[in-house]
Amino acid sequence: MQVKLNINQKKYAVDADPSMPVLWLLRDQLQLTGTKFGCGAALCGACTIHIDGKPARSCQTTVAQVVNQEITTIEGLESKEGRAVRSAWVKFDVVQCGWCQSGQIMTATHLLTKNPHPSEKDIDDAMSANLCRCGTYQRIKSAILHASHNMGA
Amino acid sequence: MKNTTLHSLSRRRFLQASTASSLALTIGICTPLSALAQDRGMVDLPAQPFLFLKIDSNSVVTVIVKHLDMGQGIATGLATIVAEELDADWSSMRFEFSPTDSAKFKNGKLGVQGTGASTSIANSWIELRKAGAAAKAMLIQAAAMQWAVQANDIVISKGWITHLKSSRKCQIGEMAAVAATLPVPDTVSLKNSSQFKLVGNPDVHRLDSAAKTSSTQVFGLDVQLPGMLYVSMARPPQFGAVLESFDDSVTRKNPNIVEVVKTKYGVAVIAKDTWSAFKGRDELKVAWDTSRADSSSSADKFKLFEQLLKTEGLPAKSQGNWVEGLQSAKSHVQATYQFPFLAHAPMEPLNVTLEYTSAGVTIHTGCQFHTVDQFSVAQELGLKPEQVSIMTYMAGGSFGRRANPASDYIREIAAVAKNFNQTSPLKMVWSRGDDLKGGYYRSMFVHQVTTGIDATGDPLVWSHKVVGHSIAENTAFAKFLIKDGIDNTSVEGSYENKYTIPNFKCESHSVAKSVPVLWWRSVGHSHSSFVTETMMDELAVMAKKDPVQYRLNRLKSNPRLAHVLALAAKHGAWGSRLPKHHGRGIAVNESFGSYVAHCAEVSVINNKLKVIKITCAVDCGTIINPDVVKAQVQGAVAFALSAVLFQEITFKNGEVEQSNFHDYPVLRMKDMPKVEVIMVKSTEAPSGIGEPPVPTVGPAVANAIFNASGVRIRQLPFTKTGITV
Repeated sequence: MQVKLNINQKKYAVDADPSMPVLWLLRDQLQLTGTKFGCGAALCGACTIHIDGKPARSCQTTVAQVVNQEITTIEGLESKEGRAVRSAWVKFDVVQCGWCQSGQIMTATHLLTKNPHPSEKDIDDAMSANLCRCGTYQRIKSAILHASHNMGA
Repeated sequence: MKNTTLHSLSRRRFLQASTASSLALTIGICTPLSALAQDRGMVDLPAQPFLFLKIDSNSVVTVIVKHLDMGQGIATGLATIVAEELDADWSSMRFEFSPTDSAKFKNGKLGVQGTGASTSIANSWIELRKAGAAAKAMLIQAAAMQWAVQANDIVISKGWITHLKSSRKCQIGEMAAVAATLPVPDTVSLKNSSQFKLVGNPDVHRLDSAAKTSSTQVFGLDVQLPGMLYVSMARPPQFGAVLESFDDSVTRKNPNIVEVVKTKYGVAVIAKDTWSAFKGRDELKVAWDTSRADSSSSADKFKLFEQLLKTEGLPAKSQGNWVEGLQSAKSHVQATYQFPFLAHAPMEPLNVTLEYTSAGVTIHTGCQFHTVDQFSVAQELGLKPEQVSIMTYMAGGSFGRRANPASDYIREIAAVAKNFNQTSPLKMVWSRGDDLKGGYYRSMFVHQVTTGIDATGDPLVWSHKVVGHSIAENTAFAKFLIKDGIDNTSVEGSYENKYTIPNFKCESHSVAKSVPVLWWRSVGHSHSSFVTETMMDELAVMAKKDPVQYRLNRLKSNPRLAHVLALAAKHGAWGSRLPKHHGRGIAVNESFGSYVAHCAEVSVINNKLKVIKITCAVDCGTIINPDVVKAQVQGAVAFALSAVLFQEITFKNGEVEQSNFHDYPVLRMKDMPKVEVIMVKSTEAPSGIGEPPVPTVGPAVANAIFNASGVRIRQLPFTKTGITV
């Protein structure tokens, strides 16, 4: 059936199965492949997107659940916090393989939006749901702290 | 602007270049293996030049990367080597993955085109320096001709060509077209290490950071082709089971299902999207013939392995007389160690896309084993290898999984295409469950060490038995890796006798494979180092000696290993007081030409472990990118801790019990210790860094646990001994 979606502040009318997870609509139908598939069971966080500003696992969120809501993916992450996070990611060369990093960036951006000056414990709490097999955690933490200091500027 | 690459540039031969606006300088040098370790200035040029770099008219330098970048940063590393000798401006450096051409892009250390054994920098070091240096010499020659001046008066720096006497200058791109018409010089002069500006520079940033933080990086799973269909496969639930029959009536009710195809590897569901393919696969009713399948459970397997400890294995090494040594030992100890199967679980699930072309097929994937995969696809489809081209993409991790002598998922897509009556491009996607249940694990292993010390506490005797599955057995790599029945990858790290114990032997038992096994980041060292280093700790404790000094006393003939050990101890504050319930542990290992020591600090309270700090000292020869080396060492801590703390693949009645990250956990940020990395400055030839920092994390932490709590761990993961995080 045809569903109307609002993704990255752009309106889409697409023919999609409403019971399909948003992840696959984004990746296979809309070619928004920045959102990654990692586990398909909300265990790794690679597929994290924002729905009305809140992080959600797109592998466990159906198309029907997001109709008429604002979806933001890594491709549309343009907020002040999002820009600060990305720029810190590059400065600290956080990435290794990079597959989990869209999800890490989406989660980190939400953390800083909600809590602009997180403690290390706050960062651990917010980021521990996002897995990184390459082990970039130390740099992720440094980058978030750096982004936090540089957002106000 | 067009980019023309000149494939047949050779020395003593002038190539007629086409118009200046459409040119690029392309050059490559093939290096004999014997020359790889040389770093002496003047080096003979090889006989078969080929492609390694392109310079366009805007001075953008593109390095052709023959290795897979799976996160280890090899694209950045290889670009750094070229840029160094070329004296290019770092901001103008780009990279692209090479095509599949085993003759041109062979890994000199592996004998095939492929990436593995932490050899990428080592086998490219001289090859790419020569390529960069030759290109630089040709650019200078071109400028000398164009400006009618002496080549000796021309220099290149940060991508600018300057005539010193007149200050005339231009960027390298302006001379690239002319340079491409010149012969490759017979000899080139390489820099001395004191002249390096980019090699060893901690401020050189990764080339892939921007793309990987902005969603523009295309991985294999992101490949989109017009008309592409998606494939999921139902595979045997037990290794060795074969398809009996299947019912696809429910699957076919979904209009998004295009076809269901039977192959020798399983039943493939072809759909219009990934989700429908997964769903359709799960809705199949498949009957498997399990009469010849392995239906054993993990406990059965360990029992079988341990029974072999009672018999004599094949001798991997024998020195002195271990029976007499044991008789004259003052104290002795015998310990048996169990290691589980481990999955690689790269974050990007395994995938491959097949596209028909006029010449044959193109395979799109994060290809790690070009020669093998090309041959495999050709064999499946009845094509010649040259009809199979492979497009390589960034891989979201591998840890060894994508370099498979069996080309498992690559062969699967070819088999599906062969049995499908349409020519649409096909993308095979593995779910996480497919990945964890799909085999090609780090083998389970059982080790047994019988050892003893003399009256002064020195180790006198060491008898080491290793029982496991051979990776190389029944593969094309058997003739290279198996000698006298012993697979080197099973016993590496166990047989070398690095502590020069006078009475030493190592025996190997290879158990016939019923579960497919594969190299897993650091291969044999992933288990052997744990045994060697925790047992050395036991001996030091038994001898009432300091574990660091005890090791140093026996490493006098290996100064690089002794040096990293001393460094890790020093920076890990070895010997300083610790609070109650805290402990420190040390471990040291040599693998893939590199020397690594870890010092771990932990606390253990009521069997609850916290890894507080890991200090790692590493000597990997000349360091190309210090920050990339540091990243590999930091990441190896998380990778190794995940394995030793809680990962295991287990079997129940032949079926793998794990299915996702809830029962095959990966370390999370809250459990990540602080990591300090000490890098030894060296002018030795560069060696590996992807794998070497993995093996000693586990034993250093296990020794720290003993130091903190008195609990000795001989079974992995640590949860088996009641240690939790």
